[in-house]
Amino acid sequence: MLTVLVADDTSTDRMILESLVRQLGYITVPASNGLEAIAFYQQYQPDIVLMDVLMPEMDGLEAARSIKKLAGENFVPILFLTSLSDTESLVACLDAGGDDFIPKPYNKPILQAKINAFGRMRELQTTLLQQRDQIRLNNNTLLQEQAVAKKVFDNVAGKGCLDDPNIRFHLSSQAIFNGDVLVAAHRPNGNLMLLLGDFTGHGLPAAIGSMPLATAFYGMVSKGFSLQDILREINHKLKTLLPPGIFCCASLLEVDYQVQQVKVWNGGLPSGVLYRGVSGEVELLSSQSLPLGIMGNDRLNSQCRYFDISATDRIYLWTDGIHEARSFDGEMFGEARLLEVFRHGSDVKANQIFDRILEAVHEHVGSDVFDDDLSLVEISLASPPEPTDDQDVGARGDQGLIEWSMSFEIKPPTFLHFDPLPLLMTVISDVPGLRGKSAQVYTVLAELYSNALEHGLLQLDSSLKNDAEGFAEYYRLRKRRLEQLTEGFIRFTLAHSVNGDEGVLRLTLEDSGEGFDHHNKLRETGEKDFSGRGIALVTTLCASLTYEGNGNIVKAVFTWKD
Amino acid sequence: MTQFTSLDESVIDTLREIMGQEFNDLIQAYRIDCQTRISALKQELSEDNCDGVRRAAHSLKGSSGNVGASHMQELCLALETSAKNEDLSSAPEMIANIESEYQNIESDLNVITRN
Amino acid sequence: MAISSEMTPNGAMLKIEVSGRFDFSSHHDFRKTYEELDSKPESFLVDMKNATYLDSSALGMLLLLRDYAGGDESNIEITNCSPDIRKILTISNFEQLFAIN
Repeated sequence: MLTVLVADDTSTDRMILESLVRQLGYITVPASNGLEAIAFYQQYQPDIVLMDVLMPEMDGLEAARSIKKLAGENFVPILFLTSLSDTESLVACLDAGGDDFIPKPYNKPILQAKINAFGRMRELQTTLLQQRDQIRLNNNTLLQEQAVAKKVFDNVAGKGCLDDPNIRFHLSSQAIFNGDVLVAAHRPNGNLMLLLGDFTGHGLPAAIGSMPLATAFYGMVSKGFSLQDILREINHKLKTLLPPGIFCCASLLEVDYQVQQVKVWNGGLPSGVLYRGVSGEVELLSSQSLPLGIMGNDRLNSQCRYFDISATDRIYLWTDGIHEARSFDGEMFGEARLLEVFRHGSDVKANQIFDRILEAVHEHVGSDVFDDDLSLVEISLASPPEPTDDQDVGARGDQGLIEWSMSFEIKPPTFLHFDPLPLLMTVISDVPGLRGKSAQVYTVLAELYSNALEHGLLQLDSSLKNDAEGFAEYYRLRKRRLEQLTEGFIRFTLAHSVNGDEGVLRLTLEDSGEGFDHHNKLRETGEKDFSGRGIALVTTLCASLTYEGNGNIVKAVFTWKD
Repeated sequence: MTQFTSLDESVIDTLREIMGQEFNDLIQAYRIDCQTRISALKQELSEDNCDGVRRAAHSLKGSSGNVGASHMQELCLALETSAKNEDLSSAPEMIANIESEYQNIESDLNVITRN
Repeated sequence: MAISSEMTPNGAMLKIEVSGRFDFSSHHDFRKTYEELDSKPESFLVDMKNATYLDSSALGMLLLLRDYAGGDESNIEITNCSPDIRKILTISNFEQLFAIN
């Protein structure tokens, strides 16, 4: 029920008005001057105030101002009771915050209509304020939840190497809620792997796929899985987890600094750019596959493009936010303007392209308040990153695997589809102290495994690889013999121990092949040509490398200190 | 049916309806209002206070309107207007008229409360 | 943005016409065109003649339609694409999923 404050110094007026208001079914609070009106307003919090203009102590105008001030954002209608009719006085009432007038002498139907109307307005206003507060509360909760979600994502993504000096990127602060995701990490062999993705839509639905994507990416890259394996795993995960209609346009690339080659896959992202530093030429890294998470792996085109690179080359990837940045009159930035930045050739130094792209987009959009919805990443192909040796636990670390050994055997047809190295690296990376050496261990394992497989089991002759034609022939033969292989094995034995502050990992690989005359071969040819470049590298990484049996057993001892 | 000299019978009937049991209280309140305002008018006039005269006349005009004392209302309006124009030259005469009109009203009120 | 649809008299094909910007704001209207049908038509035709723009949400909506129409067994044709729209469909390699001309 509404409470109505009736402020009038003339008792007959007040009595008549109170009586009328009560007959309408409302509760009345009488006040006989302005000061009383303010005091009773505070005490009774009435819904509507009926106020005489001329009153002793404090007049109605001043009392109205005070009450409006006290009410703040709450709507308390003040209706002035007046027989005044000159415009000036009426204007003064409105200026003081009055919402309407009730003319004297009182007329019951008019009084009723006005009080009812303002009662409804007040109710509406109260509901609006409640809803606004609810929305504000919801929004705060949402922002808080987003902050938590972003923190979780950052924890997942924090494992990466996005702070490498050869990577520059620009992401909106709200990137994951725009659906953009950028992850990068080194494989155990030192190759850089980077994925830029753009999920459909905005908000939580767009952010939700980023988590499984990032977890799969970081988990697999550090264990040495191949680009194709990672692609298929992410595609499978997203296809399984996300509803139809939500998917991820992405580009995934791997930079091999040693052989100076980059491998690129693009499914649904706008063409990226491989910028040739010497010539200033541009090669487009265009999309050749469906985006991730739409079809099963059987329909995923995981074929990549390979580019030879030199130290002055750079790669640029972006999401469609950059193409779709709109100018004041709605025109999109578009691909043509983007590629124009690269055409300035000698005018723009290679290390300025990144900034020039952002500047060009800003200029196009032309607003100080830049509605930032774009993601841009630059990978400079110049310097191979220093191997990260920053793991904190030494050989004597008191957690994880310390004294152990394991044996692991593979037989056909497993060789054809299964790469044992990621599995072994999972174990290696659980050894305190060895984690930081995983790049070296990976290299040793990879070389010894490919020798055991290709020369031991498949009896391939590495001298074939001396010319380009032979190189192709070598891999053709490798594939055929692998498919035909029906028996044989390769056995890994890994033993780990700690001796004082020194850690020792003994790797033994035995294959069922015929072996070779290791005594003579080692003496005759020296290490350099022996079994190709790989073994030379392995011997530099290991404390010792010895062949046993008829050359089908190789033992490598890898040691390290804190 | 009594014939009133200064009050509007239909207004009185409406008030009776509106106020119910409080009708007599209202009449009493009006009496007090009139007496208070009239002595205020005299006081303010003796002090030559235009604004004071205007306020008292305005109040008396309002409550007189409520009870249908239309002649009293007119007298008050005239005084209020003069006071607003800062002209109190004919105020003594006007207040005397107001006072004598109140006597008429008083006899009407006596009839009303006796019924 | 405006979405309108029309069923061929024999009920075999639903023609959906998209006008203006085809983005998230069309989501509800687009789904309504096929979700409220009494029976599922054999084929669908999405006419882009009057569409000016298409974003990744719209690609998602096309995938939802494809899912509704039977996934790999669906028969959906996207027609009258402007060069810009065609390009967006091509980048995502949607030719593999829809008949686009």
